[in-house]
Amino acid sequence: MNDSRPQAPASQLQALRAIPARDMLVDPARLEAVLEEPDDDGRTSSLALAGWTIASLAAAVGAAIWWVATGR
Amino acid sequence: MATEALDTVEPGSAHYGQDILPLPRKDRYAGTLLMFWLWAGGNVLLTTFLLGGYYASALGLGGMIVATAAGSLLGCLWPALTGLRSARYGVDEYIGMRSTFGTYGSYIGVVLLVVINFGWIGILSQIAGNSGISAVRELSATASGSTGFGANWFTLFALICGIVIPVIMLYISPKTVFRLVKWAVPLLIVFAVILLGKLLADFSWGRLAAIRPDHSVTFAYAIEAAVAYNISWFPYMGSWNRFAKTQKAAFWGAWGGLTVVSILFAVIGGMAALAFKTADPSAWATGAGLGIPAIFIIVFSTIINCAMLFYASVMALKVAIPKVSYHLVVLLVAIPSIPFLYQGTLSAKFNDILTVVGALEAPYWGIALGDYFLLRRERLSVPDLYRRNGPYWFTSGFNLGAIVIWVLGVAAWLWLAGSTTLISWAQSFGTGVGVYNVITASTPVILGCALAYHAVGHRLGWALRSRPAASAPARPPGAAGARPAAGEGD
Repeated sequence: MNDSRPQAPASQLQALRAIPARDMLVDPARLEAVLEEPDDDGRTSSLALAGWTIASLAAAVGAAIWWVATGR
Repeated sequence: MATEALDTVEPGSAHYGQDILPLPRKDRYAGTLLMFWLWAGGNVLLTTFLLGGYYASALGLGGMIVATAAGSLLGCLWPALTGLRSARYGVDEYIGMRSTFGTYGSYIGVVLLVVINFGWIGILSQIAGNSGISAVRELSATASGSTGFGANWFTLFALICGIVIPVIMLYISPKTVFRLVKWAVPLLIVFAVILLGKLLADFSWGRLAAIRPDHSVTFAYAIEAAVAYNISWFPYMGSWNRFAKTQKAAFWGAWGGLTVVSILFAVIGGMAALAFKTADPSAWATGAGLGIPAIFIIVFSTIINCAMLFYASVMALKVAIPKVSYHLVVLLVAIPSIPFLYQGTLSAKFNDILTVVGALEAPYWGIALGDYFLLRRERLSVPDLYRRNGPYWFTSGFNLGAIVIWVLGVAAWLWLAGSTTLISWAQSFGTGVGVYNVITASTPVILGCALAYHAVGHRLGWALRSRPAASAPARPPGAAGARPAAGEGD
């Protein structure tokens, strides 16, 4: 908590159990019943997301260049 | 309480999708195709027709198509990216947003969503009312065309399609929306293709392409309109994406569904505007003898969209006030939209909403993108989203660093695009039109806010954070039944 870099927990369940009960905004039992670790299998990779972002930006720039180049 | 709690997250439960706790993976049932139909249904929207018509005469046929395609691709990408947080962790948009703006700072987004929704639902319902009148007049020439408040056809169509049916669907369950989009959206897309075919049969491609651009707005304006229109989905992504089976299903379903329909419908609307000189679909569709398909699109698109919008509002309010009953919020949230059915002209409100979306939402969700992807690398502590005095608490529940970047982002957007709005004070503030005509506004503001938050905003928020007076002992393992903070339990 003294470091400004965000820290992700090694385990969501351990993170829950480390929280004082009086600080919880919901019933901890209910949260614990549905809490699970995030799934990395069905994830789109960061590289792919970055690639699609750059491609979309390039498409918009390309469209603007086309508009100017064709003198419309 | 515990018994009620545990059944609220199962798909077979009558309470499914009505709770703010994370949805476990086994209970998320929407695959890629279902998410595609859902988000395609989201953009099967009468205002999507208006989008193309907004700049068609300025750019001509070719320019309108290229600007729509490029702007939609980019404009739909940003919401698809922000929706990944909810797809990964199964949490609502405004629970996830606590990691960025703080536990209470996320309520800024709640207010933006709920207020903007009143306007959006008003516009959608208003078009449904006008189109309903057109349809009735095809059947009976003596039918009343009144659009004022009172017992008339306008009120009947606008209220039933825009308010009553969506509220009933959500009152039953948000699952009813998935059931509807599965069969209605493919049909709506087929009808849209029929509209396109009819347009091209009556007005050949050559005739439409021969219409010279009048340059009433710039190419950058058209790109910005397409981007701003599609990023209006930002506030709704998390509410629906948490039902996705996988993050891939959420991303490709959302990006694909929104983009395909945005391009198809905006291009049809743009072509119709060139042909009929009006962007209002209720006017040109019936004028082209397409009354029945047009009415089908109008009725079902209004129902689907208003239901999607209402549900996001309901869940956002549940995040802010967890104790309130889901069914009560469903009923109450619809009422403030009703006066908007009878306010102003369609085109004036459309511009106003695009202004609000661009100026307020682009920087807000740009910061969220920077926080989730650049800073946290998609890793959140879910329990800390549901607590006070944790890493997402910042200064009394507000991340002041994020809020500072947001305010600067709003100012940057207004400086760039203020002159293109219909708001007088924004016009006088918008002196950066020369830059706007090169880089537009929403996309650079999204990217700029993401980078500024990553570089400065988070450090500022962390430096200004309030520190708990003393750390209380943690709950021992297995002590899960401990009571939550007074007044905040769900």
